[in-house]
Amino acid sequence: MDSLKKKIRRRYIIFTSISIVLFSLLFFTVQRHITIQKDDAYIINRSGKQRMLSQNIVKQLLAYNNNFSSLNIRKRDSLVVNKLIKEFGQSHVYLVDYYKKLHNSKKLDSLFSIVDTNHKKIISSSNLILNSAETELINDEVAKLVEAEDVFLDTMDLIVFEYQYIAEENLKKLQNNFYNLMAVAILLLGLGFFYLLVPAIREMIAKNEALKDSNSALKKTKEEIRNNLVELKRLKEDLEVKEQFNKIFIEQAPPSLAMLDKDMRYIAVSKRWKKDYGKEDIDIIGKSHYEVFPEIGDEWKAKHQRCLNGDIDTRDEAPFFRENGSVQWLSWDIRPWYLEDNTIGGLLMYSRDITSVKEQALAKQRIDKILKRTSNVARIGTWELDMETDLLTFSAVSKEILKLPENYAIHSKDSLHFYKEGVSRQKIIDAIYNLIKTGKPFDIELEVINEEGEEIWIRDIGQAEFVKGKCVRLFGVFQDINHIKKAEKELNHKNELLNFAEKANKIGNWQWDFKTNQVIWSSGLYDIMDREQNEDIITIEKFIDYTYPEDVERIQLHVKNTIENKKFDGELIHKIISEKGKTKIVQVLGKVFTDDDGEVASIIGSYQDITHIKDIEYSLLRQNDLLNFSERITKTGHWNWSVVSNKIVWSDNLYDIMEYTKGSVDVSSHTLLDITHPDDREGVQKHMQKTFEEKEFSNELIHRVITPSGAIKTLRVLGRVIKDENGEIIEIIGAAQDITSQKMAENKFKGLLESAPDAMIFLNDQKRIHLINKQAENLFGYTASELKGERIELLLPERIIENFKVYRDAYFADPKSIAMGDNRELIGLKKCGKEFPIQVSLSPLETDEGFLISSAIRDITKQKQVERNIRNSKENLELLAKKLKTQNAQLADFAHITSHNLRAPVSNLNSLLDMYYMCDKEEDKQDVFKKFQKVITHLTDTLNTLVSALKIKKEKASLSSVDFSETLKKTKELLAAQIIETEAEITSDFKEINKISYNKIYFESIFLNLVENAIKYKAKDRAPKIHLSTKLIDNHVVLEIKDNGLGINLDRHKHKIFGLNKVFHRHPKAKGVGLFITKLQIESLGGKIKVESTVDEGSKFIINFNK
Amino acid sequence: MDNTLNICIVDDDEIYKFTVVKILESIDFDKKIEVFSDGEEAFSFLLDNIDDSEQLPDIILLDINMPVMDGFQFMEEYIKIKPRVGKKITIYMVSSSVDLNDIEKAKGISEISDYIIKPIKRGQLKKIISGLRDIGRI
Repeated sequence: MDSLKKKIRRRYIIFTSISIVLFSLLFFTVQRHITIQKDDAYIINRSGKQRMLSQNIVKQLLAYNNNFSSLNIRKRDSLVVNKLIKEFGQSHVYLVDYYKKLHNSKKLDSLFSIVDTNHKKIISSSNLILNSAETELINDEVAKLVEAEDVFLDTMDLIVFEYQYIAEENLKKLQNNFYNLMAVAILLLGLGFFYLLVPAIREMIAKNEALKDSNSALKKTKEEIRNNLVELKRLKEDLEVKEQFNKIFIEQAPPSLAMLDKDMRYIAVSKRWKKDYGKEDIDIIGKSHYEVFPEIGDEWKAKHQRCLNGDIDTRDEAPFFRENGSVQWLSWDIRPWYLEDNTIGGLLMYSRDITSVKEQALAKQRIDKILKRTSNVARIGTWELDMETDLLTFSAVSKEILKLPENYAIHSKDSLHFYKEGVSRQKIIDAIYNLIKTGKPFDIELEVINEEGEEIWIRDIGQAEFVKGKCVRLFGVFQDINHIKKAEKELNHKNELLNFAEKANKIGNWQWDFKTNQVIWSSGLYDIMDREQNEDIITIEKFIDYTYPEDVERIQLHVKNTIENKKFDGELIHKIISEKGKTKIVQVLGKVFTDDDGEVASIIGSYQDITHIKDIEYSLLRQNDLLNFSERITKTGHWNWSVVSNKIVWSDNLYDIMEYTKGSVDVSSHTLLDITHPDDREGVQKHMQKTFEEKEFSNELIHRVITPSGAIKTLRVLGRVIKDENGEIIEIIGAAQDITSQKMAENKFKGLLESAPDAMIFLNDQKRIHLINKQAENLFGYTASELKGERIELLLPERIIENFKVYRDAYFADPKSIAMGDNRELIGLKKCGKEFPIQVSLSPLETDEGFLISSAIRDITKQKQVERNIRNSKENLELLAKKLKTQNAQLADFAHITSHNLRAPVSNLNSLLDMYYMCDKEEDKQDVFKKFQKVITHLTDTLNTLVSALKIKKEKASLSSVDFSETLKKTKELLAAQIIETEAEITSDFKEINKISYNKIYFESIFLNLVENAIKYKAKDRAPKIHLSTKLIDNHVVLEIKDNGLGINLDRHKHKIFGLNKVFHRHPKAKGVGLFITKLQIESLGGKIKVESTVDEGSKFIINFNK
Repeated sequence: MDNTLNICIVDDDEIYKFTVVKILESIDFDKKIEVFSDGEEAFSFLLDNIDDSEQLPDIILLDINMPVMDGFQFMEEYIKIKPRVGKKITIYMVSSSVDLNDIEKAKGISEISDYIIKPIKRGQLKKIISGLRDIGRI
């Protein structure tokens, strides 16, 4: 479409451009020809004018020549002539020029050459005429002029003609050109029409056509849609109507009809349906078919599914086993119903409850069967009694039965002797009488006596024929049922015996005729049910009704299963409530009989009252339960292997242990081997062999089994063999215990033991080695077997054994009193005799194998080493720290001293200085000056003390042996005055230590300072008592100096007691220097001083000289 | 109450006490000066006059380092009896100690108005007195 458009556009462009070119050409041509025509006309005109000019010239000249007389006129004429000549000349030039432009006419060439010549002649003649006055000449010239003029005129005429001819030619040319061009134009238009317009039009027509087509299509579709809608609506309405109709139809339908949707939910059901299936009280619409009838089996469901896929299922008759255990006989027709689109919308079910029909049919069938059987087996004869003649005739068989001769005939009234007197005779009389009177046929069994005097049993069936209400004839059949009767009698007898047996064993039996739904009980069963034996029909429902309510469901299920599987599974033990309301436990066994079609025909079975058995069983069960329970608790099971049959009976719990369902396996010795762990199989087998060889179950067998779930269990098996009188094993009984967890625990314990980082040794209560782990083997160099049973002392060096025994015995005596993990360090002894330090922690352990003591032993050689190193470095560090601390304290002291003890006097000096300048009076100044002296003295003292202190610190004093008694004596001498003054009493006790190596000066200074202090700070109310003593504490020499003085309030002053210039009493001589220096001296030699004091009781200075 | 200012100097340094008394005497105001050689003496005085505001000091210039009971111990005891003292007492710690421990400790006791490092100048004493006068104590 687009390409066509493009093509058309291109053509159109070409066409337009060609047209433009053509029309320009046309225009140009016409224009050109007009110019040519104009030129031609002009030139013709000009040529004519030239001719006229020449005539005018000649005429003027002639006139000029004739008018001689007047000069004026002549002059005027001459001017005119000149003017004309001039114009004539100019025109000539123009003509010649024009002609020269043309170049194309030979004729014109010659004509113009003539014209040219004559023109010149005219000009020259004219000029001569005008300019000359001679008449002759003039006349001559005039003649010449006239001649020339004639020629000129003629020639000019010819030229004009020529030009006219040329003009005509040109016109003709134009005409031709025009026609040509017109022709081209027409051609072009034609082409344009064909190449451009036609396809364009064609396209347009085509488009138009398409548009028209689609329009009509659209219209058609619309129409269709409308039609469809209408149709749809109609269909919908139809459908609704139909569905409604269907529904109503179904609901109102007399037969049993149901309409179900695809999911088997009810859409509509007829009342009959509800009635047939006993669902009248339930609103089943919308419910699932299977919800309404849970008894529907999978087989039927599958059928329904097939129907939903289009099948039609019809069945003339089939039993429907209802939930309550009854049987309904149905015929049905199940077919799908279709939706409008021919898809299946669901199912239509038509069914008919033909139970009653079926029952009738079955009854008929029974009769037929009897007839068939009788006709086959029995000997049947007929009889006929003509009522009018009273003649009784017998058929051949009848005669045979009665052993009558061939032609025997008898009147009925004489025939009574056939019937045995008593019951039979009375029976027949009554039957005949009834038959004649009411027409009711009879079927009775009678004892007759034949001609030979034998008593035989016959069955007599009689009917009557009435004509107009009057009995005209009786007829019937005789059947020899003697052998049947005999058999019956025998059966009865046997039955009686059976009944007796049943009664004795409380057994009954039953027979459920499936088709009649009737159950026949034996008398034993009646007895069990405590029910009078009578003719009442017992249905299966009635039978089930006796069931104890709790068991009903189970029984119904069993019945259902039995019918479905066509097999009576196992034995059914349940409780019943008898007629008399007794609860009994019965055991029911049964067997299913099927008919030729394989359908269930009857089920017969036994029924045993096992109440008393059950009671015994129950008590047994209880005991068994107890056993089971205890087995379960101990994870034990018992077994019984009957060797002859190779059958092993497991207890319930053993089944549980083995993870088998009871009864799912027939256990034999092979089974046992199969489930045994492959690694243990050989062991088990060997054990079995051994048992059989030795005829004794050798000691316990521990083996693993793999259960169906894949679990591995460890069993401990014990057994005992039972032998017959020949000593052969007939049975082995025993118990198996699941000791998996113990085993696991043991394994775990062993694993833990082996993976323990420490060597572990277990001692038993005999204090002997019971168990050791690998680490212990490695540690001591013994193997486990070497050590087992040995005394632990083997692993200890002799010298510590005595000590160890004490500890060990204490532990054994009361393990709990010693904390777990009480690490004791001992010395171990390797097998190679090497000793090494060990750390032992003990803990008691209560195990299956008795009381054990576990000991974890660790080689601590390395720890010891490391510990030693640590202790050493710690000691070094402590020493260093102490030193640093001392130095720090000293530094702090000095800082304090400089900050206070030196600053104080200096600041005083400053103050005094200020004051000194302030004082006006001389005496005041003197006063102040005295103060200066005081301060300076103080300052000097302080500086001296500091200097000596620094000396003490800096210099290591030289040592020599000093004597305590000597020094005290010397001190007393020095302080004699004070001692006497204060009546001080100084005692001493240097018995233990009297001499040490010390710096003598310090030593004396310490004595002096401390004793002096003791005297100085005496109590006011008592004489000082001072006691000095020495003793050795931790290898250190200690000196104590005790007094009964003022004491020091240590709470307040402890921190500064040894400080410089610290005083604690308002004693005039207290300076706070003595103790400061003393402490420095003692400490410089590595000693210590400390003080104990109570205010008003006294002080005690304790000096530790440190070695 | 009269305008007499009770000033109490507690110090064991005789020279210092001498100089301070002299300076105070040179400042013109009504005063009564009590001098004690250690904390205990001063504290006993306070206890004896606990109800006698006329005897109780307005200002205490307290030294740190003293025998028997030092400045800090005095403060401890004073804080205990303070609620019973019938007068507002301004206490200045005056010591030659430039030990930061001492200064910090003194600053930590709210009853101590300021810590003055010896030697105490005349100007400082004048300022203290005029300060008290400003707040209307005199």
